[in-house]
Amino acid sequence: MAGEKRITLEIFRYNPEDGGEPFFQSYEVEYLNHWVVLDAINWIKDEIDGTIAHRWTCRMGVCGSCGMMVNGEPKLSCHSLLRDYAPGPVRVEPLQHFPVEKDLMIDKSGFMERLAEVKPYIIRDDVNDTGNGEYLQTPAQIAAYHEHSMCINCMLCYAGCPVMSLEPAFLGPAALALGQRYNLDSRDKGQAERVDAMSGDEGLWGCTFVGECSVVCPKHVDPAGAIQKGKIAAAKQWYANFIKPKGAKK
Amino acid sequence: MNPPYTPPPAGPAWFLQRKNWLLFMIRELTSAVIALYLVFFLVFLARFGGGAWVFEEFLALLTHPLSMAGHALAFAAAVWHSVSWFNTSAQVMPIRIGTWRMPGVATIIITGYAPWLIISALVFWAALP
Ligand code: FES
Repeated sequence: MAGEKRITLEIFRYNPEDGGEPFFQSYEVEYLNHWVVLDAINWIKDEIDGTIAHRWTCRMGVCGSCGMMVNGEPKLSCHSLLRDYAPGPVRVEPLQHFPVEKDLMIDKSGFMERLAEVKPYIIRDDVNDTGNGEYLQTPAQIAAYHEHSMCINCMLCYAGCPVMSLEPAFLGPAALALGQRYNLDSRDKGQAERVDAMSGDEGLWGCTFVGECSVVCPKHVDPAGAIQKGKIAAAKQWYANFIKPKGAKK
Repeated sequence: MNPPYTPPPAGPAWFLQRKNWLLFMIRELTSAVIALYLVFFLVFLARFGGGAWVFEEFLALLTHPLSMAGHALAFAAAVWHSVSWFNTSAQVMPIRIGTWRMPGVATIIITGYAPWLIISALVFWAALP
């Protein structure tokens, strides 16, 4: 007996080993006032049905591994209070726009490949040796990219972005925001190396600015804002190249 | 063992799934209404050289109930489109001085609503007899 209030969770189930189709399974949970959706799933797994597969680690909105669709909205299940969904039922599904490995576990491999495409690290030719100290930045230089560096790779933004299902090759909000985060970093000189991946139709210009990625982001990374800033920078660069005398191009 | 389950692709009514997707679609569709209105207007502008009777025909058309409904629709679409874009300006072009970032509402007013009001007032003033 966990608590004094009851709510029903309808959990998406898919088992690649039994060859069956996905279905929803209902579980009734008694919960405490402070329980989040993740607590309920963990309780079900411990007490009723140990076959449910789901990811979580920190239980405090840091690791980004517990993202799920809760009543159709992309949410961190460790930050979604059950009482906010009373009297229920609460429908819990894997994040939208991803293949499902089992139950609530999505296949993250496509996301990881997208992150790698934007080269999310500082690139420069003149590698500083440790004897010369750190690359220093002013507070204003940090402020230029700081919000975009807060991503926890929870992928809620991919579930909130309709372009992900309409254009499956789209790099997506988190990867583009991350690339832009490094482009805005005063220590970085790698913009030219990211331009091919980021500036194509599958990159910045694939974004139609629905803006839902920034709405669902639990860390206020504002991927939509980062992408629009990237578009402005790319357009400025294009015009600069266009008006330069031919010999000066490159 | 089956491969990972792949959700079905989005259907033509994908934008009905979420409120913000629908609002996005309305924003995009309002631009089509504005474009149609501009075509109508430009066609008449191009014909004005044909003589005073074209202008008379244009004025008569403006008072037709269908034309009035079309103008009301085009106006509503233009307002919706403008407001929905103005409201994004703090995201697209945040104003930053050093580490200070202008609050979103102030950015939206300075970059969108204030110029809109000033230019509208100027046009209104210029159009006064
Ligand atoms: S469990 Fe780490 S973010 Fe939810």
